[in-house]
Amino acid sequence: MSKEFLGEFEELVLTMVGILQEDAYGNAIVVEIKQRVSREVNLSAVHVTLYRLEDKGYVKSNMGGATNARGGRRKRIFQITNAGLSILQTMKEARTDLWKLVPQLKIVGLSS
Amino acid sequence: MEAGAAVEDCWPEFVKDPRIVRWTIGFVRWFCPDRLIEGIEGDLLEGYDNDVGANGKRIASRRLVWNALKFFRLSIILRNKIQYRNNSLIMLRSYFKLTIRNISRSKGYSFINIFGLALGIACCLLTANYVAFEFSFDNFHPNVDRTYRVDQTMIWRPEGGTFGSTGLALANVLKNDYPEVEEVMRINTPGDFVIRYSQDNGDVASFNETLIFAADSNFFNFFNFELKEGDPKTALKGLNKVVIAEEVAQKFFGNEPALGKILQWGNDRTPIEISGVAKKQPENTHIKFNYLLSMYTNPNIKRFEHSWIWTQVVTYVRLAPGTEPASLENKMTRIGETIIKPSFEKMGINYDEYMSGKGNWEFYLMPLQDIHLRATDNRLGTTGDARYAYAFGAIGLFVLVIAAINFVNLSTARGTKRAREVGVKKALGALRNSLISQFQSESIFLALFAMILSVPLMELLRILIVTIMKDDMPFGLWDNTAFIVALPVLAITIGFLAGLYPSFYLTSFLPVQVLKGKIATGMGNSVLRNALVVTQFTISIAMLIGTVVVVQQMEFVRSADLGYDKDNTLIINYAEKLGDHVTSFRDEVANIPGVQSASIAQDVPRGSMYEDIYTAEGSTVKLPVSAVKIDDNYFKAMGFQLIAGRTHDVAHNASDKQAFIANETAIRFFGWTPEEAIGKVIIYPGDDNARAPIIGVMKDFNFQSLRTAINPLFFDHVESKMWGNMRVIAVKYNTNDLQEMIQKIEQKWNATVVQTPMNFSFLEDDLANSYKQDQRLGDLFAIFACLSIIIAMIGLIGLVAYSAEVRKKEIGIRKVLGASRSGIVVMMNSSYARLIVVGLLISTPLSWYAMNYWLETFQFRIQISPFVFIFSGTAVMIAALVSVAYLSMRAASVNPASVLKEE
Repeated sequence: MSKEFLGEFEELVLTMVGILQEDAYGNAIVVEIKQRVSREVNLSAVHVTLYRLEDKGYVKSNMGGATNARGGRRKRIFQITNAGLSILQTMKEARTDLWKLVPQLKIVGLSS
Repeated sequence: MEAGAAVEDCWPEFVKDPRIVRWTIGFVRWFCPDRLIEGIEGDLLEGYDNDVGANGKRIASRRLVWNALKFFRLSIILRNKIQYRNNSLIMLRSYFKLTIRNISRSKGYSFINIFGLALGIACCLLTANYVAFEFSFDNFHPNVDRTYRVDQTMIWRPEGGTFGSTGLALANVLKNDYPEVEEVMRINTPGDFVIRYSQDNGDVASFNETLIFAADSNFFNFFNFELKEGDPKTALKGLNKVVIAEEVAQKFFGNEPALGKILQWGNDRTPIEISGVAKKQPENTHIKFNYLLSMYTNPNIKRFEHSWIWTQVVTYVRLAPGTEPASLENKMTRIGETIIKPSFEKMGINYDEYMSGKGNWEFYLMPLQDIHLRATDNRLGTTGDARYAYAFGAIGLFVLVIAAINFVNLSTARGTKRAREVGVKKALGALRNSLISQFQSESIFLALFAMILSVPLMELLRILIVTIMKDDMPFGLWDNTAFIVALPVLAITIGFLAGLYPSFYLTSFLPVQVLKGKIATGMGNSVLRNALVVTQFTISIAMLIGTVVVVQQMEFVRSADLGYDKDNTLIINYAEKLGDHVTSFRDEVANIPGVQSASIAQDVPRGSMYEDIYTAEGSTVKLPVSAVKIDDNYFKAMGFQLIAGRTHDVAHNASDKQAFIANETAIRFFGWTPEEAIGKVIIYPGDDNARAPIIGVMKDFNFQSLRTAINPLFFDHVESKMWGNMRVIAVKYNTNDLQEMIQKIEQKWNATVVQTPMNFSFLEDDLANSYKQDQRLGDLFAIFACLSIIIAMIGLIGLVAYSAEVRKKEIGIRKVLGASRSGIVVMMNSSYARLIVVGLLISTPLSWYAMNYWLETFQFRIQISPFVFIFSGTAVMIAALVSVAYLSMRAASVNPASVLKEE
């Protein structure tokens, strides 16, 4: 695993960008997170995280077309980059590897 | 910004409607980076829109505001700052590069510029440091803002006034009757004593000690003096305890612990136990002690516990928080009538008669921090003078102004060179603003270089000043954080201000004209430059005049005919310690080779004297007179002059023990002529109406400082019964080996009294000491006047060098047309010589006024002669001529062919 690291929230937002595809912009991500993992997140937190991910090169952004909604403002659409996909992958694998090391019996015991 | 502007046109209706939304969006726009603003705004508005549908307008707008506020966070704000800063950092770097290039292109001018400014900054900081020190007195004590010294009406002088001493009884009254007073503390001054320490091996170490105080046990609650050994809470509790200064402990015990050791105090050798050793006390405090006795160790405290007129203590109060000092002062006015008056009546003194002419017996609160600069007296040490502090500050500022003027002048003068640069840059599309910031940063960079250079310069100057003044001028505050902040702030401010004019002036050039070479022949705006040069010369000439006046007055004071012979006089102080042996000791000293005469007196005329009220038989005049006891020899030995009657001669006429010699002033006040005065009987009402005749009248002489007029004076005899047991021995000498003579006197002294060191001084030194502060003013004036002239000359050299360069061709043409070399030298010099004359004309009235103000503080003073002004003007003129002599000669001797061949 490289030195690159994603925080939990960063990972969540990055995943959402991957899920939403062409429709990944600030508000949509907030709504999506609420729907999928029932978590209230603040718009500004999402924005900051998106910009940080952009700095790190995991997403890139450009302005979408103008609409009549949103007071005429264009959306800043985010798009996951290859680097972003690959770090999601790496993190997922790393977690799976670690997961395999946890004795499964206890879980069984707990959940029964 | 483009995106934002585009959006402006299509505000949808709903955004225009609620004001809160518009404000919120405006707020977000203010801090968000331009690049991100559209996406953020869009998201906010979309969220708001959805909310309005789902929850109504009120909740929606509340959420909008909240969401928008949440964007106001570092990770958003920094995003735009970082970009911006990056940009200007790059520009700064390029400006820095330009500055360095400009410096190396014209090393001479840059050196003059930077060095002059560095000198100015160094001077300014040095004086600022001193002024800050003067104003920092007593600021480190706890709760200093509500701590006061209690002053009262000066009850010892018939004309009243105030002074900073009180009687012992005041403290209890304040403590018991005034709830506003939180705490009271007294300090008593028992005087100077011999302190002895018997070592284990039987040897006795003994020193004549000064700064011995006695204080109430809560002393350390009032003053923040730390103890190295001992407990501040208990150190001054109980009898016969003493807290000594670290230096004293060092002197007696070396590095051994001092706590618990027993010293012997005074002639009675009262044993006192060391209960504490104080750490080195800061310089900036009005009270510095060597010994601090517990209050009642001094037996007089018990005896005068209830006295109002035994004014030998200083009383300090700490007021309860929120107390208005003026209202308390007001309340304290009743003390005189309600408490002191009855106490006087009990003792049989008529209060009203006693206080007549002195005003009411009132009390005043002197803030602790003001004692050093604003109080007229300080029982426990010295006082400063705010006027001197301001004068020093002004001098430092003046030097800085002169240096800053150099900076401005050289920059504008050289503008002609830079004009072409400006023209080219403008032609290539540079905005005026960016040019201004280029010049401003150049100027600030130069100032910063000067600042760096000023630090070693300041240290050099400090060493110079300390050496010249041989004095404890406290310049040791370098580790002060305020200083570290002040230095760059000062430099940047100077750089900015000095750069203002050049940057606006230079960038105002029109590129077309500049590139055509129109301005290049002129010298820029010479009216302003001339005005600035005149200011420089005004200041430096004024400071030179100040120096000359102070030096003259000091010389006058030093060599003034005081009316007696002060030369070759050795004073043996504290001769009362010889007890009954004082006469025999005097006679033995008189026989030592090299000693012309030795005589006993109560004190020699070297400053302060105590006055008492006297009257005369058949006269209603009550006169405050200083009375000094002398022996038979003293009058003649010191060279006083008799104008009527005779001097004391107890050896042949025992009745002379009770007899006065009065000075002219005294008998003038009584309304007698010298002849009438002989035989008149003087009454001293204070002492059982003691009476004694006048046997002689002496010519007036200055027995106090030359600042005061000559006051009434009596000489009475050492054997008279009058009060006053202090003695000195005045030794007139005429010897080549002073050292040996003093040694012999000291041997005799040690043979007479044991374990009591001899203390001596020279009358001339003692006299000079009383003008220390004025001497200091003179020295500082001299140093800073020199510096200011040097800096002004540096600037002048720069200007002349520059004008020589610019006028090279003009001079070449003049020479071709037949101008002589000397004619050109005169031409080069006359332009600024005129400015010096103007400077002299302006500085003459200013400095005359200021120096006259200072001289007014002396009763005996010089008159400022017109030659002072002529001398100062000439001196500056000569300095200027010499400074630029080489430059103007070189300019005048240039070969026309070599300057005219180009073109």
